[in-house]
Amino acid sequence: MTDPAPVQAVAPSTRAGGADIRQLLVDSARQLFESQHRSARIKLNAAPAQPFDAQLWRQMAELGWLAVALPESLQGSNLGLACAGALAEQFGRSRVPEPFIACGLMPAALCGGLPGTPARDAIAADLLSGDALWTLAWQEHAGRVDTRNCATRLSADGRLTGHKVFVPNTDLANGILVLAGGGEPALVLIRKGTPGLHMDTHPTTDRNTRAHLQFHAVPVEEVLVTGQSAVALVNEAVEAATLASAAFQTGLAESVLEQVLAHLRSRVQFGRPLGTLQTLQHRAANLYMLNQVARASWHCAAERWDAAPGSATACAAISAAKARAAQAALDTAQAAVQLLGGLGFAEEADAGLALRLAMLHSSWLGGRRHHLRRFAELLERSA
Amino acid sequence: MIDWSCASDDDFRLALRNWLAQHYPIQWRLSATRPFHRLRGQQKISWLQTLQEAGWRAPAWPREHGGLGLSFSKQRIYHEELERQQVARVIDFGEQMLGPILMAFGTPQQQQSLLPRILRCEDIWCQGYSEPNAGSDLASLRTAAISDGTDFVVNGQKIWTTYAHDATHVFALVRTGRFERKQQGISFLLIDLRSAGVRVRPIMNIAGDEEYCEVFFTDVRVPQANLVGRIHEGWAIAKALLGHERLWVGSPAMSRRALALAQQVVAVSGLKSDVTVMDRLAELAADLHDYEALYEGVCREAEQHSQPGAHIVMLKILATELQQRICELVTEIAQEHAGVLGESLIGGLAVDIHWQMMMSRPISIFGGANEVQRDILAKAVLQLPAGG
Repeated sequence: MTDPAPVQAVAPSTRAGGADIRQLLVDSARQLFESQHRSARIKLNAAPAQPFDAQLWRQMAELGWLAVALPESLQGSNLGLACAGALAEQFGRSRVPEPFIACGLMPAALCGGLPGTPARDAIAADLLSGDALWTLAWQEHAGRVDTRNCATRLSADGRLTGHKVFVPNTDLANGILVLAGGGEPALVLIRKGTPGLHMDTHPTTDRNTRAHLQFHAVPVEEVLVTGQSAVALVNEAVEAATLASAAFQTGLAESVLEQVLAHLRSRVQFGRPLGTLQTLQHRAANLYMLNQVARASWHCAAERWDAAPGSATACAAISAAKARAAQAALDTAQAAVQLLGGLGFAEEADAGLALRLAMLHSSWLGGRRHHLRRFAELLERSA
Repeated sequence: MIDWSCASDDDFRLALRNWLAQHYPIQWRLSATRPFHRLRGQQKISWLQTLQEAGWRAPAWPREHGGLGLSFSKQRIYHEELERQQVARVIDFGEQMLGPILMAFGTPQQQQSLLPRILRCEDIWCQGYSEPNAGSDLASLRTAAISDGTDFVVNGQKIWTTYAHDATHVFALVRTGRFERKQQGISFLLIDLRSAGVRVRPIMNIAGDEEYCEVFFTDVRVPQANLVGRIHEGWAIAKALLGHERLWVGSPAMSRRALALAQQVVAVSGLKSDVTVMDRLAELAADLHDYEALYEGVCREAEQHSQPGAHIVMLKILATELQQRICELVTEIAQEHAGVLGESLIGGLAVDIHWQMMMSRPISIFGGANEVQRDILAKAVLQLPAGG
């Protein structure tokens, strides 16, 4: 097998005609996952419990994946969300646990707007090499993913007080980027083990972690950016991640449906394949249509964002895509457990694993209800 | 006549927009009481003749046959502008169905004599496919056409024939022979409804309108020259994928009308503070948004390929069921007004809740029930095995 080809930095003008590059990314992802990844890594009985593969992460970096949202001035390829989404979709299809969205896409999206500091350069360098991971802590309450009313504060002498919830992959992260609010918002870097930082870490259904953080006058290592641009940058990273999660779930749903269809074609009961039964045919048809709509929705959102980043219509489309993808992934995975019968309830089949990933992604970065309401609100504003 | 196929998209759009604004009668626009209104009878003929005289008729027909010869993308602009101007829909079987069939399967003589008459509304066509015992299972049709050497003699019955009472002619599927496969032995025949032995009986639908009919044939003589294509091979004609025509049934336009009505009713009913209603409205708005994204993608694909793939049957299913869900919400939020037969005023807005509910029902039945479309999707796209 040939090695997957790395992505080269491209001029922004090639973005619009990025279908070829997107296909290149998809092909390289398929190749890498086929040779280096097995879903057994994230099963409930997998050992070790933490599946992160540092070698695989470095390969992803070398292929340029972690830098698709990094600007060219930082040696990234700046390919836009259509490409980031296409990659995320492959992570979903193959159920790959490495935190591409949380520790690849989000830090990369942030970096573009940060002023030149040692920390920014270190983050950008790590996205190119894959040597270390970074994570972003912005959310303070379950179900509230926007940056309004951020209660964490940075004192004049550079100490952080407050809390964050559901921060991804702090166990893997080299440093944690924390959003502080108030009159003068700031994005700061803290390190694990710093006095005053309390971490309550939980395993997630994809065998990664989320941590609740408490800051008791934690000294920050570096202030990356201050003022409203700190909030704006975090918002942008969250939008990018939301779109990518929609693409991830679409890929997940589609691969689950393929598994279900294969079962319906081959499994014989009452003397005929299950797939000849009209009730099952119609269920499959409904899931197929739902997945097609989910795919169209994230494509539309990526296209709008890449044409007008941050616009109300782009953000509305991202919300629609996230809400739809959550529905597609959950419905398809739940149906898979049912339609595979006894096997569907066995950890041996991938249906439960898919449902577990759907549960994580459908709630992360805002659930269906949150996004439907935000969609309606943004639509009204842009009308 | 201006050759619009050569004009820029923007020029074409603006010219049509301006012309429609000046020439489409305001009283025929879609409204809250008739959100899915269709022109029929004399109104329809008058509007089609206005289009014909001004050079806007038959956007999909090639110029050599008197149409506008528009590309698929320009046809989309054409439909967008009709929608924007709230032009009521027109079902013109001559233009939309028979014309393309004659161009593909008719003799030069049939084309020359019939196509101009369609454009000028001298012949008004209806489609005679369904029969009492041949609905979704259309190939079981039994209306017989027996050749006696000079003519076909037609006996039998068609049903659910839309606008037969407005039509002068019917293009019908008739049985000319019995073969092993029931799809064989069906022929495509053009019949003058004014012939001796034809009787048309309108059927009232659940909205209270007489839109479709039963058509009875008793020893009706039809000239041999009225056969389209080869004898016994009419099934292929009926099933022929009429290119992009199949995409229009998936247009989200009617769902947009329905959602606009829902939004109006919410506003006049003071329901904007009702979280449950607003959540359901948001959900339906997102359903529409996502469906539009899907439709856009399929249309773009179709612009590049002459024959869309089998997966486009999903458009009809999704579009019709979305429109129905929205009309169901309208019915629910209209509260007691849902029990009113005919017009009713909600906070100054005239609505007809009964009509919009009833008119959203047949869309998932006509043109192949959605259950049949799901069967097709399962077999042709998902490659699930056929039953038996």
